[in-house]
Amino acid sequence: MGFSFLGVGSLARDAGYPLGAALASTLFVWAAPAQLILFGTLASGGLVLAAALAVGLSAIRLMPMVMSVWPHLRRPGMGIGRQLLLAHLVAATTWIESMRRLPDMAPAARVPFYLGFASACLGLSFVMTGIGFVLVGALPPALAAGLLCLTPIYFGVSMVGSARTRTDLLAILFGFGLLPLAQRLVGMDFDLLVTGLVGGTAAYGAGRLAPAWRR
Amino acid sequence: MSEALWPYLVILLAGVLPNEAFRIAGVFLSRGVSEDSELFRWIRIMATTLLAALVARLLFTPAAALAAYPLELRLGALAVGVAGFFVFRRSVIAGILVGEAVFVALSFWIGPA
Repeated sequence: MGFSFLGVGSLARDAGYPLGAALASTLFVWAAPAQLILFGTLASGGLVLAAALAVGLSAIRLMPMVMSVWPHLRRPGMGIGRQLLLAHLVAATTWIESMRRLPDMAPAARVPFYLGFASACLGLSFVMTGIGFVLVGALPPALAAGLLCLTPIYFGVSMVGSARTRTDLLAILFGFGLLPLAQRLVGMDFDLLVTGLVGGTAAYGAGRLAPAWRR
Repeated sequence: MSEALWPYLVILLAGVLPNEAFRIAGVFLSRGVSEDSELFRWIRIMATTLLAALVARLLFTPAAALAAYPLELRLGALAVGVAGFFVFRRSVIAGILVGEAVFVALSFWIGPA
């Protein structure tokens, strides 16, 4: 996980954003893919609206994630402010760990565990964002490039590693394969959005039409 | 508005708002809608596709410091990483380290364009 925030920091610097903005994005956006889409789109001079739409598409997945962890996390009488704070901390890493651990824990122990784990993740990611930002400006060119290349390698390998169904693999292939085509057809602003919608729907459709592809 | 505040406004509008909106929607919808539904399957698959597209974007049209090295090297490093993942008995961390090591070693050897 730390790898992805190293990438966020280095990409933010490359996009011409200040250190404070990189760190604020980790604290308040708290979703590495969204931050990378944001800084990546803005680095290439893209529209803020286009970035927001692509970020939005990447963020929809947070909704079912919150919904699936909530029965384990919400206690009777929990106020809405507290719920929104807990929800803000939901991201890929905290969600995976919570879904694995919370169901077997005593209900009273769940929120403290979740808050502790999520704060540790957030703190580590905050530091990694800062390190990535500083390093990419201080390292020799080959290492700075290596730092920026770490993000796609990290996400590429972890996605292949966490793919559980053939539909997942198809989604990875469509996403990777269609992006260059989408860049040619719709340009650098809406390439991610179009690839996600079209490629994702195609992969989902393949899974529906051929049930063997869902496994 | 001051120029210095612009980056923070962009992060708020294009980063924080879309993410918080779906987290909050999740809190309010957590009773009633099944998170195993076909709709959410579709959403998850689109998110996976989008992330793969992001990986491709970071390699095909990379940040300035990375663009100084050839496309073949960037794509090759990812391929080596994925191959390393399978060679080292499905170890994600081994795959990442192998791909990254190959990239950095060859970058030093080739030098920036």
